[in-house]
Amino acid sequence: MDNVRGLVESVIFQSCLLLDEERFDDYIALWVPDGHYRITTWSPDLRRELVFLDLGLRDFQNLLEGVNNHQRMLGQFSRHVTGQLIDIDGKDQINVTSSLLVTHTDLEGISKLFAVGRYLDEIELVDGKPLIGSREVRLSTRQFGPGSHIPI
Amino acid sequence: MTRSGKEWHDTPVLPESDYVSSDIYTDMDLFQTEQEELKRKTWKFACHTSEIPTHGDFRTLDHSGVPIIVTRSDDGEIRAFVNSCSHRNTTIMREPSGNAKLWTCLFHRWTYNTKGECTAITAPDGYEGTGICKENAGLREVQTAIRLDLVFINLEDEASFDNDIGDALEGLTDVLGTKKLEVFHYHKFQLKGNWKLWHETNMELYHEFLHYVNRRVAMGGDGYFDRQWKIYPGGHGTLNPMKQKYERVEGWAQREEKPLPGLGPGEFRMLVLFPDTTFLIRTTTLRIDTSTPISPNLTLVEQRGLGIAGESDEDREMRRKHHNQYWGPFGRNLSEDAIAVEALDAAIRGDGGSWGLFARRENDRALDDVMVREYYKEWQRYMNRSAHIRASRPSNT
Repeated sequence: MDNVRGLVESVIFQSCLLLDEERFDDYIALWVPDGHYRITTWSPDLRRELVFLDLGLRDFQNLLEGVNNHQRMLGQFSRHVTGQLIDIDGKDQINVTSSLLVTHTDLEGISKLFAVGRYLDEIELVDGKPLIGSREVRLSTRQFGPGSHIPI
Repeated sequence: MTRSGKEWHDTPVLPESDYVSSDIYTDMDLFQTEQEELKRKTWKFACHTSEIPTHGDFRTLDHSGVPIIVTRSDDGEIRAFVNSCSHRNTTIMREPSGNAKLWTCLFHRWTYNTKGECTAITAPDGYEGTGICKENAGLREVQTAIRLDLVFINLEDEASFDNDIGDALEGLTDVLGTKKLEVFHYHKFQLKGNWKLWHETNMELYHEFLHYVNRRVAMGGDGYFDRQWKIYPGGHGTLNPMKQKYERVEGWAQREEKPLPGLGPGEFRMLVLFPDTTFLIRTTTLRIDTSTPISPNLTLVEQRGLGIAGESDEDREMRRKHHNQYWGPFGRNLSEDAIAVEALDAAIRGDGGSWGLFARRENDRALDDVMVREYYKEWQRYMNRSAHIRASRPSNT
């Protein structure tokens, strides 16, 4: 079981590094084919749930493949996960909650906090290998400056 | 051929309507004048009625530095007040929204009802003989106008919405007046740039070559370049509708089904209201874009997305998806406008240029700068000065 925990932690950490490095094909390879990605938050302005992105894996992949067509914030994002709660139900699905901080470093070398939230992941064991089945990025931050073409 | 410093800063050899001084975006004195003479005398989009559906609901906002509360009072009327206690001007309601029958100032507990009447002053005996009493301590009411479920406010006591806006909303009548719509999306961000630079992104459409999805969806659609601006008195305007081709972006489907009322498949419309609000409709969903100046180079930009009230979860999901493709904080289009404006601001704030050119003339077609020129005509009327005159260089005036 400790081995599974280690593999789960590793796949989540890899997902951060690969997105940071914009290695989108390798990032998508961490997902199951029918994976699902969402970015959500609570709006105290509207007093309702907001969904900023809600994509099946194919649409998610299209979005990532289109990133280089756009004018974007210059610099690099860096995703930091800590404090994971790993709930292994004894079957093939593992629920993981991770605290998340995302920083942005501009070309002058100035780093600023971009977003605070959590990853709420469902990890599936496929032939003993953990893959991301779904990810909800649950954000506390609701202002992102110009915004980002790359998901969190 | 490059230009010398003198040539770079020389006044353009153009009609005065065709360029503006960069100072109108950067000068602090002009900014203060704008706040007092323009923003506080024009109609500000505050919220949609769906954001305050029940009695006691309220929304708070900043309008040109003045804190505002908009509420649906207990009698069902929508009213607006300066969100400031009559006693010592403490902000009364500090949340962005909520529901309350009474508003109690946290500092000394003076209390108001949703009609703005003061209902209680703490320990009133101490004011005996001063004339200060709850009967004359009501809140400062702000003018409201509600059209098509859009709530506008004006800090001028005698302002007339119909005089100032006229028929400019007519292009929204079918969309907003047929079925009840509601706001399902709201996000805001601080833009490092002047508020007018942001609004120009909805009037100066020559910049749309910037946007990958616009190059494919809009410019690849039918009649993009041939659309005509229709200008209304007061610096408002609208573009003729067109059909866009969403399927030209990889993985996107054409927007054929469940359009908003009055819209045809793939139809796009936009409507610009002076001084800071734009309505953009992409077949299935409507975006309301408005902004609030914080300083000459900092602007709060607000984005709302609307769908049909009471629609199925499936329909709402479709509208939300379409909205987010373009206009969400992780969408394809909106952030490119912000990045471009911030790049422009960075240069003019460093004195990188003296003039902005709005000299495109294409018989009022889409990429003609006519809408910007009409906008600054109105801006000049409120400001009692020309937009093309530099603020800090009297010799140029």
